[in-house]
Amino acid sequence: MTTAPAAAPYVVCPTWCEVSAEEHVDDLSNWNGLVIHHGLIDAEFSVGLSVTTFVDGTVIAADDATVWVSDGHDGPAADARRLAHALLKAYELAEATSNNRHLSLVAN
Amino acid sequence: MTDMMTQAPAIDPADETEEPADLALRRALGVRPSNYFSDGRKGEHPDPNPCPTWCWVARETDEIYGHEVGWSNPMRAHHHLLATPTTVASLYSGTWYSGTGDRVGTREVVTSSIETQLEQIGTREPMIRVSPRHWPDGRELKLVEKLRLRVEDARELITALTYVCDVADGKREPVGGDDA
Repeated sequence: MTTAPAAAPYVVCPTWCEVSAEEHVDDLSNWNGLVIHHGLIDAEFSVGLSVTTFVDGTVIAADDATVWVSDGHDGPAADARRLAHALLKAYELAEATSNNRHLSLVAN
Repeated sequence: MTDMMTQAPAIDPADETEEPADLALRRALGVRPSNYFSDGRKGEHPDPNPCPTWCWVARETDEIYGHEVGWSNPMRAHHHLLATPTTVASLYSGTWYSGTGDRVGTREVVTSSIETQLEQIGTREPMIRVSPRHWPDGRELKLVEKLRLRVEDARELITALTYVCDVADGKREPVGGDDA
């Protein structure tokens, strides 16, 4: 008897996630079926965002999102203000993702 | 940046640090002394330029404390805020320490954190320094990878950065110090 290969699950990603559908599916077994989304939000300061969700895009916990940024900064006020704006953008995306906004279906 | 206060002309400390003959020659030539006391007594720093409005020396009303004379750049004052915003980096371990002074006998915990400092050397452009403070095993370490922040950590860092930027740009008065 032969069995048809199981269809790859649909993975729902936030719009800012840069991980490919194939990578997400391949990683499911490494993360107990959970999906870790990563995205670079601002290249100048290496500000990024990571959020763990279930396959359907539902966040694990509202405070699970992680904002990451290059370690340390030293520059004039204009630079620091741009850094603040980059962090704010990541923060707002994290909040929106926790509220199940900014989601899109990316994998099958 | 509008200057609020002009530092008093540097007091010549040479009476206590130079030989009389050297002192006489230097004064005859009209050149600055090359010896200074390093402790920060007001008006004794050789930098003749006024402090930025946000500098702690400009905001202190007492006539005692001033900028220390640093060995690495002795002719330029090192301006900074009196109170530095420090925000929590909650994904990293903190450390504990024993209380001192009135808190002897207590045990306190300090979280890993991010300091956001506003500094200016002489009349150069003000600089904002964002420095993570991480305390694994009770030892302060500089992070070697990207700084990771929970969402509430990021929100507070944004608040701190905005505050310091506004102070640097003269849009906000610094909090803390004599007129807090």
